Amino acid sequence: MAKLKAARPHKKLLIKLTCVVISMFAFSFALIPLYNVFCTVTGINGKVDLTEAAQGRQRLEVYNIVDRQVTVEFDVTRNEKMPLEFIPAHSHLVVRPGELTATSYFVKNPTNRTMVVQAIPSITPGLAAKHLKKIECFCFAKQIVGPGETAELPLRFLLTPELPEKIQRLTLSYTLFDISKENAAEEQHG
Amino acid sequence: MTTIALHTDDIPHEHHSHTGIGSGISRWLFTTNHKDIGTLYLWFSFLMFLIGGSFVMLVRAELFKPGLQLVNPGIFIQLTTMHGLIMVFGAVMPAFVGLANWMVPLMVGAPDMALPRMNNWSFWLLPMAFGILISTLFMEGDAPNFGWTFYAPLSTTYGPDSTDFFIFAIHLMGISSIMGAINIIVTVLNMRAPGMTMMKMPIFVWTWLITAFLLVAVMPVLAGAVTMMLADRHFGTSFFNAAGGGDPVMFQHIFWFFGHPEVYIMILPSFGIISEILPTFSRKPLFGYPSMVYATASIAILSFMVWAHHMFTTGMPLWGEIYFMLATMLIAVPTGVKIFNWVATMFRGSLTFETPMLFAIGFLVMFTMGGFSGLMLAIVPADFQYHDTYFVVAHFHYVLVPGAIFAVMAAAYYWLPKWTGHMYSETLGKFHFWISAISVNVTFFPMHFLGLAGMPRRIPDYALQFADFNRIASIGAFTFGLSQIFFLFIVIKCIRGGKPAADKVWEDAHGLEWTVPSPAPHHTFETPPQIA
Repeated sequence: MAKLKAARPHKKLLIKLTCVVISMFAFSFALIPLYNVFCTVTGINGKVDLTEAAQGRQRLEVYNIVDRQVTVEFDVTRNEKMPLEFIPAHSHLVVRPGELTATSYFVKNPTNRTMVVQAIPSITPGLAAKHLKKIECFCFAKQIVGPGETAELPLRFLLTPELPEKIQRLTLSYTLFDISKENAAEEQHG
Repeated sequence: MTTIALHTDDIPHEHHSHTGIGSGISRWLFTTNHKDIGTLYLWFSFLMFLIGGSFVMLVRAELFKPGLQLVNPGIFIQLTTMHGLIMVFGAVMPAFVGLANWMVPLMVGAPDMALPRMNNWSFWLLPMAFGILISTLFMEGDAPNFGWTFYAPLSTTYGPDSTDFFIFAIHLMGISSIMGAINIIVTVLNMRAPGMTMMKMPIFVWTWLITAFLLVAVMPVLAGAVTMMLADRHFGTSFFNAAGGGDPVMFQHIFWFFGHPEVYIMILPSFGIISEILPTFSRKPLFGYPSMVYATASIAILSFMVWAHHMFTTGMPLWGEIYFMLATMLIAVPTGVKIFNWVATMFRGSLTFETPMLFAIGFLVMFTMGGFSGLMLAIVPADFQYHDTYFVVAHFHYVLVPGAIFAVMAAAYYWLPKWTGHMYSETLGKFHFWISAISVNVTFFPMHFLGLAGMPRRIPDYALQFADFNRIASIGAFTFGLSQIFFLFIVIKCIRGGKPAADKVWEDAHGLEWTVPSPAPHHTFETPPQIA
């Protein structure tokens, strides 16, 4: 009798605890969408949501221009010291929130092979990210630069008037990733 | 009916003689006895302690003077990585599981752990896991070289080939820890002697029960993190790769979601040990038992809410930093409750200073110092200065070496007579304590100054102004290392002979473990004791 009585609660508890273990394993994967949703809602990660742009759904809204000056700095990091030359036309611009601003980046491929690159934008301070709207950006799609080719890549953006008052200076930073290999593999499969 | 579970149907009788003790190597390979498995865990953890320690002896030798002497920077970072991984997962955690295996059934009056076969498996996974991990040192190419925190992309894009062995080893030791934790939970919840209500449980059992819940909650998250790493490395995913839309900072969030509770996994059982030892040698009951239980539970719950204090310099918004700073400081409240309870336990007690008591008091003083430097690190503006410096190294070594390790030493001396039936040599034990306590401070105290002066972690060479403190730290480290070989000698001497130990080894010890003979027979509490 004792045996039977004892074995059952063990099994029950064991099943419960195993369920906890499995759900915590699943939870570790759920953390990724959870963090992403949290960062999108609060806008703390400095990430620019490119999904609308990638699907061509971004809308041009007209904002009232606010009479205050905000400095926007442009910055480029080449991941893993990739050889592409990539420089902003202006190191910084002074803009007014609500005003549509156009600038550009110059790109040069000094190598003798075609390079496929993807630029990933990031904004500091992170809280400014959701107030920076891009109308046109080379980061919306991968860029293909032929051997020795140079190009001017346009960027048009505006800051929304809701940009918090205390943000007077922000940095728009691009990290360039060489995705030539991945791109070639994709095309082969495609 | 009784709440005691008889597990006889779980034991493979064919492997056992009448006494239940097998012979030779098969006794240890196939054992399902909680005492045997506890012994295996403790020896394994001591072996890992020596291996992880020998790696850091090389590190300290390299840091003895500026410049590169013994090892090149590549080897250096592999040594620090292995030191961290082995000490955390191979030495401290298995030591506590070993103590739990030995003591929890004895303390709750159960005949064995609830799931003895799983117990055997959870132990024997460990030598496999660490065999795999250590074998990476002998492979072509680098061993894991990204620090014990294995941040992406160091461990994904830039990880050496051996990283895959590391991932598999982490999976194995994670499974082992989870099974060990489940076993302890089931034992404590289902197999307590009749009359032992939850609030009558020895405090060591309480702290282990809470630790086991932490393990069950966070070890799967660690498994998830290394699985994502594996996928990023080989299956073309981009969990932590910004080029593919992932985020390397995400790795740190997931890692520290595991990592911070892990820190408490390594200290809560120590709290239990200290709460057993101080009352015995103060000849007073533990002050504020219920508050000890609630404080432990509060620390466990808070540990899930503070992870990003490891990441203040990742560019968090101000309100995030303020929240994590305040939440971290909040942990000092339940921890303070414990410290005050321990001091109150000793207050006006009839104190004697046997070796376990010395280690316990050493723990109390030096763990508190580590706690205070933790509070300093929690201050966001200060953390920007301390981040990734030797101040951090000093902080976590103060809570782990004279914290967790001293608690394990205290436990070993406290229960060694019960395990072996012999008294250890009190003179040698005291000598071991004093040499350890002095050398541990000589090693780690100068690191505070090095960190405040800006010496970064994980570097094989350093600026000349750091030379003196590094030399002092290295001398301390060599002394501390050697004194642990001396501990091995004391333990072996105690196993082989010594004054016979009484059943109740210490004059004012309380608890069921002191009601069984010394040495504890292979089978105990086959009929459950009745708790008044």
